Amino acid sequence: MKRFLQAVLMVLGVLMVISIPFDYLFSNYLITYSKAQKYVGWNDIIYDSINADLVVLGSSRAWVQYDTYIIDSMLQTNSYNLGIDGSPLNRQMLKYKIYSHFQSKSPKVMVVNIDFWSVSRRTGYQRDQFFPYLLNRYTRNEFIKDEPFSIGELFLPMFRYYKQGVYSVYLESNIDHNLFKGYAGMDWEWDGSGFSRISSFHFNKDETVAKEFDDFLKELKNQKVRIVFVCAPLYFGITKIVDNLFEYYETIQSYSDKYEIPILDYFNYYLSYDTSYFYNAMHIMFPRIESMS
Amino acid sequence: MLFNSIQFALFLPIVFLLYWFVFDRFISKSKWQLRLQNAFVVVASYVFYGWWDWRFLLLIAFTSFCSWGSGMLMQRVENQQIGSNLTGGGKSLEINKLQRRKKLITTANIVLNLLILAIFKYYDFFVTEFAQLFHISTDGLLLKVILPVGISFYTFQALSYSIDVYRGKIEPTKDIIAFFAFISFFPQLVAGPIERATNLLPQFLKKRKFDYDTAVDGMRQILWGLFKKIVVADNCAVYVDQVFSTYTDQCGSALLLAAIFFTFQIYGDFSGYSDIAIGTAKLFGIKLMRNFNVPYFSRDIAEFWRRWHISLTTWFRDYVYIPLGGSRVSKAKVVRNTFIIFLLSGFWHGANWTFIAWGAYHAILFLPLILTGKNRKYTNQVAEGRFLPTLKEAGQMLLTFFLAVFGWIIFRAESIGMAWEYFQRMLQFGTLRASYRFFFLSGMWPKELPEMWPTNLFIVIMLVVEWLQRGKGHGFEFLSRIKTLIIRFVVLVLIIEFILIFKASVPSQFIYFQF
Repeated sequence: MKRFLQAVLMVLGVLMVISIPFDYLFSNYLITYSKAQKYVGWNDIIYDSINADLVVLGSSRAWVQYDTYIIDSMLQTNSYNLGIDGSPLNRQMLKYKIYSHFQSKSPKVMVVNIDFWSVSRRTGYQRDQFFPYLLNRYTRNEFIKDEPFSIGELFLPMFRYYKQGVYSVYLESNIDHNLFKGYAGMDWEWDGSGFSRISSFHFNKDETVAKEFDDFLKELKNQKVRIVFVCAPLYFGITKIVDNLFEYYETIQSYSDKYEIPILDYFNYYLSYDTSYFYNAMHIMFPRIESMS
Repeated sequence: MLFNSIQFALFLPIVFLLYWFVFDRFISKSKWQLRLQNAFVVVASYVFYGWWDWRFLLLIAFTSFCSWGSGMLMQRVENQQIGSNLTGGGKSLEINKLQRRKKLITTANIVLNLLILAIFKYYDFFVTEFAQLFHISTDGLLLKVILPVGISFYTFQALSYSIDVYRGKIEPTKDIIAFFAFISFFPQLVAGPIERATNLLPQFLKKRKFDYDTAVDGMRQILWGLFKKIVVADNCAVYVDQVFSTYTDQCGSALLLAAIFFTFQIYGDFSGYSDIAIGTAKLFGIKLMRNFNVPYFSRDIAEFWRRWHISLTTWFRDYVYIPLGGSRVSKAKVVRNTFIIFLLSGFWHGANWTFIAWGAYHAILFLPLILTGKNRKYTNQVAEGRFLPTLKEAGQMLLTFFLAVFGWIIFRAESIGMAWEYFQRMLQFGTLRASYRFFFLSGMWPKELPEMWPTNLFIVIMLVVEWLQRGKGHGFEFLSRIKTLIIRFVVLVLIIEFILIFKASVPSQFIYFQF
């Protein structure tokens, strides 16, 4: 029995030892060569010098709808899109925090895309986007404040990649999202299947996130960053089934009033009534963004 | 709890250490040692099963208790029988009466077990089919209960005990804890191998000894099972699921490839599970029966069935086919018996016409062999003593393989209609030409389907290893023949790394859990 346990521990020990440099090399590969949105967005803000005057904050709507090329050319500025797929304000603020830590220059303007999903907390979704950066002490400490990681993911080398399969992670990292300064327009056909399954929708406000967002805005104001709220177009079918639309407006209006933030509301904009602009009820397709601009 | 989950990776070492260190070593002097160790096996097995749904533990306990109880009742009748013989009564009438009582007890237990199985697995199917036949509504008639995981496996295991006790092949056990351990032993509880009481139960009645070589071999077999499951089967599943869910949009070549991949998926999945189960049991000093023996190297369908899901095939052979007369009856009855076991085998898999059709399909393939007496033509390993098969053997294996592939299409389809349409689309004119373009010309691979070369490579690795190890217990047995410790160690670590690197991104549940 003793011999058997020794053999098992020996194998595990060797695996662990091999995994340490492997983890370092693989994480660095993802940081250096990955083309996938989930890594490129973080790689840019942690390892590159962006020097943006205008940043866009938001979830996937920001990511696929705020064309940084158009913003740059029309406003004659240097912009960067911090949009993060499937992520409400807790992660959006985290991303900005990481951005401001690693980037020497603060933006002058911040466009915050705010919608019915924003004032809430979400963890777990696409958590693998954080994995390569757990080797960096600062990002690791920031990520674990918001995202629950298992002991294995935090302390066992390669464990976080082994779970998904290293080769799968590698394949996924090669999917080229053609990001341009954080922006990735999607040219897909309209698909209303997801939307047709929803009969009603409730704007949920997480009080903790609301408070954190308030502090966040306060801090930005102190830093003299100009903030603009944008309610980007959503297919009207979504807006009309929100049963507490008033509460939503009341929430963003309260921030707006408190910090003198202008609101650009496109919920009732003409294109919100036409599915030909959207690839699903919540996202505009990229050629339409080009033509709209 | 899945074998390929983190929970199991934690559960197994904890149970292993408690089993050998607490319940074997520290209390080894106690006369209760064996019972306590068996009780621990039962508790661990119930935790393992209850992880999925604890409510159905009552069902296993009930099944176990009824089968154990029937054995005890038969023992009592047996004692009465012996008593009446000893007293010199010699009254054959009395003996016949007691024999009838034994039969009644066995029948009652079989009916009870099958009734439970029928309610959970087949009731809704029969009601729906009858309702459709007579155009009546099923409102309020359907039970809509969840199918308890592994119910077919442990029910058949319990039945084998009752029948073997009735036949006098095994003494009924008084040890209820050992019996509960026999029914619920966690490595094989949810997907087999379906053990016979004659093999497994005696192992719970005697003290187990830890054996280093057996345990190491068990670990290697677990590793081989994991390779087949999480590298081969799960990677095949990515493609198979995508194609089968959109089969009406796919070309014939894609459908053919998906059918071939499913053939490897189900093999990797189920035989992988069996290897993990057998390997895990070895860690606890328990030897389970072999469930697969390189079935895709079979030279005809009869050989395929001697090598595929051996525990179920032999179960039907011993408890259904032979009692019906087997092949030592008239040709008409042989046909009947063959169809009965194949249809039952199909229906055992699930309440769907596709499984019955799959069984019928194999019965049709099997019949010519049994009627011409060629069903036991190939009982040895293919190319025994040779490195490569002859051309004839290769052709036979390929033909048998593709016959199996066609069968798996029926098995995998959601309905007979879907299977038929799948066949039509797959075999439509031009598929062969399209297949050539599809596989050999660049740029023909549909963009929406995942690149399959890594999965092809994994399948090739599995087949090569199985070919080279075809006379052995499992694929990684070759490790024991590497004499140099360092090389053995390096190969082992490389294998583990390979599995961790190439495991599929989305782990799928074991297919046979649903049965």
